Amino acid sequence: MSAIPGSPPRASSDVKVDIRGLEVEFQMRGSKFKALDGIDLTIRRGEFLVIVGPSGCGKTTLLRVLAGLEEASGGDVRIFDDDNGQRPESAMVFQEHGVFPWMTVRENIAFGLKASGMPRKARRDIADEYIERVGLTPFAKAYPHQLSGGMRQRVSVARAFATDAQMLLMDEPFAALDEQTKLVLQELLLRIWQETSKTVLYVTHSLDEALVLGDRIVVMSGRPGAVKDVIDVAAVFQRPRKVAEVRSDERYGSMFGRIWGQLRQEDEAAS
Amino acid sequence: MSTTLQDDGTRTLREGHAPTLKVRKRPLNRRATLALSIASPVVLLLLWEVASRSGMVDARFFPAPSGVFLALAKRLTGSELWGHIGISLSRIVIGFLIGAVPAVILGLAMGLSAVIRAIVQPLVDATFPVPKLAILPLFILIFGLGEGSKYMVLAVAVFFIVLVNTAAGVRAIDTTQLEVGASFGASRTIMFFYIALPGAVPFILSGLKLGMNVALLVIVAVEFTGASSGIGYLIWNSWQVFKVEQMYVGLVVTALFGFGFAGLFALLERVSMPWKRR
Repeated sequence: MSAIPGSPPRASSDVKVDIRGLEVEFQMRGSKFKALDGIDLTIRRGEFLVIVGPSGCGKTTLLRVLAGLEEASGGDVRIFDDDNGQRPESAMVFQEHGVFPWMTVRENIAFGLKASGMPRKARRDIADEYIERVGLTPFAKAYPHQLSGGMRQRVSVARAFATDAQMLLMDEPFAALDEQTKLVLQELLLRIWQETSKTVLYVTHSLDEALVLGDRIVVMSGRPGAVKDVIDVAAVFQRPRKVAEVRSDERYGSMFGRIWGQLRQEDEAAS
Repeated sequence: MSTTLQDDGTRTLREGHAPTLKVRKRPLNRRATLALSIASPVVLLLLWEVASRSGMVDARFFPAPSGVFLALAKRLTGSELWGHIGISLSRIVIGFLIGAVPAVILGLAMGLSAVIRAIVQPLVDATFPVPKLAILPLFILIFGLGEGSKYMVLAVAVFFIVLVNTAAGVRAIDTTQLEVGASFGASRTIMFFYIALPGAVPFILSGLKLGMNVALLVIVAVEFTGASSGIGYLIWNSWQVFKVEQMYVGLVVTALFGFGFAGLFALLERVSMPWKRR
């Protein structure tokens, strides 16, 4: 999935991804079923876009299409390169099991760089920089089984950022963590994101997480998935943000209520 | 622990009233474990010794362990037994390598590529059930009575078991981990050497261990009939000339082979998987 060479620029330079009428179909025991049906979405350069929706609404599928792990069966996805396409197009952070158990923390974080063919020394320097950024310096040589779940997700996040990819695709990266760890990692993610100003696409089922992290929230409806609403959070909660401050803001409740209302309609429609 | 409801509705927990469980949950301490596991074979050997010397069992078939170990010690000072050990070991190692190395490579390829799997799997399914010893005569026809046919029977026996395990090992890798590779745009080489291979190592090693057991089994059987040297030949020949003690020497040596290889693989496991939880 990439910008089509020679295609006329359909959008201004602050558009990172332009999705028009995206459809994805899966084969399940001979029968076809539509995971995504006519998604229209514009992702802005450098924004933190959160996608929420009921389970099975295809939000992960959308992410996987952008990562090149899934093929579109219809529609048009255009990804506009930041700068001559020197940097990797995207890097993905998975929910769990994304860290290689047979590699040390340093080797895991350097993996994306290795895949892009960077020489050993440069790889190591960058990896060490990100190990420090996520606070794992004492664990550089540790293996994942020696780490907690939160530390493993730090490794995942560091690995994605270390590649200096133009776009980060995060699939419920903190969903399996306990509340305190989640909070710490959300703060960490916001900090690194602010320092690097990358485009982030973040899938979650947590409305709280969506409000705390996102510039905009895309609410998807389920089966087949389509975009139901887009909510501008950046206009309400200014950057830089503190997770706790967002939660205690009086507007947090009304925003939460608005999204919840839409998701509940979905639930009722489905049941 | 017991719970008492107080007048004011609060509850106090009192210790010391829990029913005592008779089940021993804690593992034995190391020293006791070691003592018991040394004692059990020693006691068994002693019983055997007594039974053999007192005539409770026929000493012609069950010579006293002391006699067997004396015979072993005596033969270890000569060169004949060492010759048998050497030739058997070289057959095992060479046959094992001829079988295991291509099996690991093909197994990884099968695990990674649906195309290769579709081509190779039916061939494996069709030939896997053939008892490997049954092809010895054919291999003697093709490779002659010398070492070649022995290497090849061993190689074939080892090949299948390592192949099947390796392919299963790659299939057992978490899909997410393969997708991490794909999402970072890893080349085929990197996918192979940094994800498929290390990810499949636990299965590969257990395949190699099984393969080595099969190799021991097959080498002894092959040497029974088609050889004039090696431990299998020693055992078979001892039977033919009714040197029972010497036969036991052969048995002890094969057991030592087994121990030796098991130790070697345990070491290999530790070296190749520093990342495993122990």
